[in-house]
Amino acid sequence: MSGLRVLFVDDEEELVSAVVERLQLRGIEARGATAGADALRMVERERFDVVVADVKMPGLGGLEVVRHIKALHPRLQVILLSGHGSQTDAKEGRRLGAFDYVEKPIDIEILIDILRNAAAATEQGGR
Amino acid sequence: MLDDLESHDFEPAMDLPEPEAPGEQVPVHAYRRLRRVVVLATAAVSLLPLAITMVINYVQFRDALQAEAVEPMARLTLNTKRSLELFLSERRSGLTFIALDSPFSELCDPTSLTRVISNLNRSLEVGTFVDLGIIDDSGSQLCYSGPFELEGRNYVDQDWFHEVARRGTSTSDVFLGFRESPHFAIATKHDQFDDGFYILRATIDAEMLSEQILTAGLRPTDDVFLINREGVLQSPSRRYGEVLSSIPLPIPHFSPSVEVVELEDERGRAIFMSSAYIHNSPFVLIQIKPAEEAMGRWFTLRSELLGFLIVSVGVILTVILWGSGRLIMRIREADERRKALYHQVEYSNKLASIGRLAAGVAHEINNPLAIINEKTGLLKDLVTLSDATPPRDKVLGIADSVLASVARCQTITHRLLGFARHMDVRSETIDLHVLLREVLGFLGREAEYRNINVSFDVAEDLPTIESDRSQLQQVFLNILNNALAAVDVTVTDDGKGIREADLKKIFEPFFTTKKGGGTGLGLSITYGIVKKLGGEISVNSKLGLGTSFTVTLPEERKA
Amino acid sequence: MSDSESRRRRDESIAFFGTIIAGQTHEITNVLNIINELAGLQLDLLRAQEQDAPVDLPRFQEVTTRIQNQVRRGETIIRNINGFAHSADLPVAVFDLREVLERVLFLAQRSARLAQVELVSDLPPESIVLESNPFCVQQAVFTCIDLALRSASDIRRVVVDYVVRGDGAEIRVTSGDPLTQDENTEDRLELLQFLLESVGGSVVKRPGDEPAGVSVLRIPRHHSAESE
Repeated sequence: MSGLRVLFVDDEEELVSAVVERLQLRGIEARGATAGADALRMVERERFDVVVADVKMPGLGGLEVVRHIKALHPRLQVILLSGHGSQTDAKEGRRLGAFDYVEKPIDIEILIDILRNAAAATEQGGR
Repeated sequence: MLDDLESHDFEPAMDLPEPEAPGEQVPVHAYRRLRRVVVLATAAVSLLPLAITMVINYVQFRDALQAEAVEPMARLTLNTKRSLELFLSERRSGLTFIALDSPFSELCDPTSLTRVISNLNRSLEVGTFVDLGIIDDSGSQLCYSGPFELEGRNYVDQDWFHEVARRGTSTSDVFLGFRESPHFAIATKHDQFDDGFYILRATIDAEMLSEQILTAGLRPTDDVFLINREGVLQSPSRRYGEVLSSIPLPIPHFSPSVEVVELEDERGRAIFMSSAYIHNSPFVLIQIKPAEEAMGRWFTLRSELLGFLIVSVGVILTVILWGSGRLIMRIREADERRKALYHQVEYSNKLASIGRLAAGVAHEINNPLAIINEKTGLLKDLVTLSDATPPRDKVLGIADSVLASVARCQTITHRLLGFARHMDVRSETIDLHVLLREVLGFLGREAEYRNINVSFDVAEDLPTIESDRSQLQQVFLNILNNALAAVDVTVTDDGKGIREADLKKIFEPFFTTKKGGGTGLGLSITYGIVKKLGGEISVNSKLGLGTSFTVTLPEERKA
Repeated sequence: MSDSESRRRRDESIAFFGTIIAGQTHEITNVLNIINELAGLQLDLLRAQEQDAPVDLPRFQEVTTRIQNQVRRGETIIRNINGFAHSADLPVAVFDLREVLERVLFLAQRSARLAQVELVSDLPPESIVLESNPFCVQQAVFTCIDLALRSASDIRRVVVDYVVRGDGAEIRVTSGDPLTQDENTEDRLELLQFLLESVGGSVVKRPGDEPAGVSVLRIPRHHSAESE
């Protein structure tokens, strides 16, 4: 599992730290951000295999993040996270190029599965 | 803040309390009707006695004033009549005296006759006998004293002769006599020993009659005159001219007493006419008084009464209209205030109920949270106390407990959320005709594009309902969208229909039979909205024949 | 006011109620999600044992504390929801203004966060007891804050405070920015007017009037509604 670098973005700091910690305990290189803008900056500075972003955040939300990342780093996969399962968001997300759409509360095992698949896709040069 | 709400939660997890029946809306026309009734009733009750009083007063005053006006007239006429009758009676007496006092032979002598007439004129203070003649029973004038040459004249074919012969006396109409001026004649019959008779006839200046007509109390517009029974003036009339003219008025019928009548003169003006037949003469005494004058006081009083009536009625009606208007307005205001207050109270109650429900639900979360806290605290203590990893099963037990509590909380928050979204239903009065047409408008082009004919078959008397406009629109939009999608474009009959097995699941979220794959959410959203609005939705379909969706909506919003 | 107008305002108030509850429910969901993760993290930490590695106990305790913090956070949210819900119990009630404003500020934090604006409380220490409609007062202050959040551009800070006067209190919402007008603004201002009138108060300074970025609401000590 080495080498898998994940960026987790959510406006709830506690959630970010808990998820990042859990991923790291499982051997995943995880970083966190609490704002979409920060996430985009980090993506420029560091290499990531997958980005997980919450749809609903103040400022740049998950969908915006997807759009920006796909514009600048088309092969980098983004997974959208949501607390309220909006099908409109899911559709829009997919249209913008998100890899998948996951609902909270997070099942860490399922998340990790998706992360692996996404990373594989990143490697293969995107969808 | 409203951006938070997304309608993807379908079932209202709990029912809000039913509001009581809303304060009724009293329609505007009910107040108008009430006002009309009040106005009519009050007007009737106040105006009726007034009217009755006025009518009674009118009649009584008129009669009283009329009597007052008429009485002097009647009296005057009576006095004049008596005066005239006395005058004529005196003249007749004179003649009778002559006949009794003078021997027949003397009377046949012209000189004696002249002396007699002269004495007669002297004896009577008033009254000029112009001539005197004596006529035998065969009608011949035996002797004559006077300005004309009348000796030897025969009057046998004259009416007056026969009248005198029959009745003993006769008074003639006025005629043009000596010097072409008006005169009249009196004749008396006197019997002789030998069953014969002779007649004494004297002519009198008609002016003597006029002089008898009393004018005391007469006004310039009054008129008093004598006529004969044919309506020919026997004395001059102010209104109708000289003697021997005809009067244009109707001739009063015979009556032994004075009669007063009100009639219209030849110019259509109202006059009083008092009339008296002069006994033993062809004369009728007429007095004319213009009603205006006679009834001057009455007319003034009548105008005053009328004026008073009009003003009273005006004032009464004005007060009634104004008063009833204010009264009804007050009633209406009170009604509306009451209704507003009712709604206010209803709203406060509703808000309070919602508040309590929300608080109740939220409060439920405290329990599982407390459990989490407790268990977690326990875990903490275990570690602190033993300074080692707590036993696995213990930890797993606690973890399970925590996760279970979290899950419990999530159920509760789910409910709370559904509850909160329920409150977003706005309510207004909606005319379904209009709404459906609007929705059809949205889909119009779509239908056209697919060559689908949409016919609008809505009952005329659909009641208006209270509901949420935008959500209803969404409901119908979804249903109609589905309907359009199901219809097979190339075939003119109705759509394909839906399999029975699918029918059961059709309202479930994410269920779709569209080949291209739809979200499968349209109908489930529709279902949710319809339920939220307090209605029912059902589907009927036969494969190959078509599908129909039926939506039932309550007329009043049940919260 | 007309019957349909009244009904609309009432529906609006109920919708406002729903919005607040919904928002806070989302906050609770966030809390629960975090607790979920932290509990999972706890188990993860303990799994180290299976690999015969020592368990990082201090860290374990720290996570436990974090869970407890979230629980407390949840309880605070519930407490505020409760207070808010009960403020609708009576159309006229005796309440402490400071307490109510603190609650309003707490509940409005969510919107402020979403608008990326800092919502600051500058409430004076002394309070005032009012006899009025607490729900209307809350809705009015919320409306002011909402308008301020929509207008705050560069400054990104909204301050709420109040002043006690003889006849009542004046609540002030300052953002320092002119109002951003959109199609709902006029309606919001009318709503504000309506809410203040219904408690016998007034909008001393309208949001949008000069000087920009300040709104002041006057609440009398005792409730005297013009429209009953």
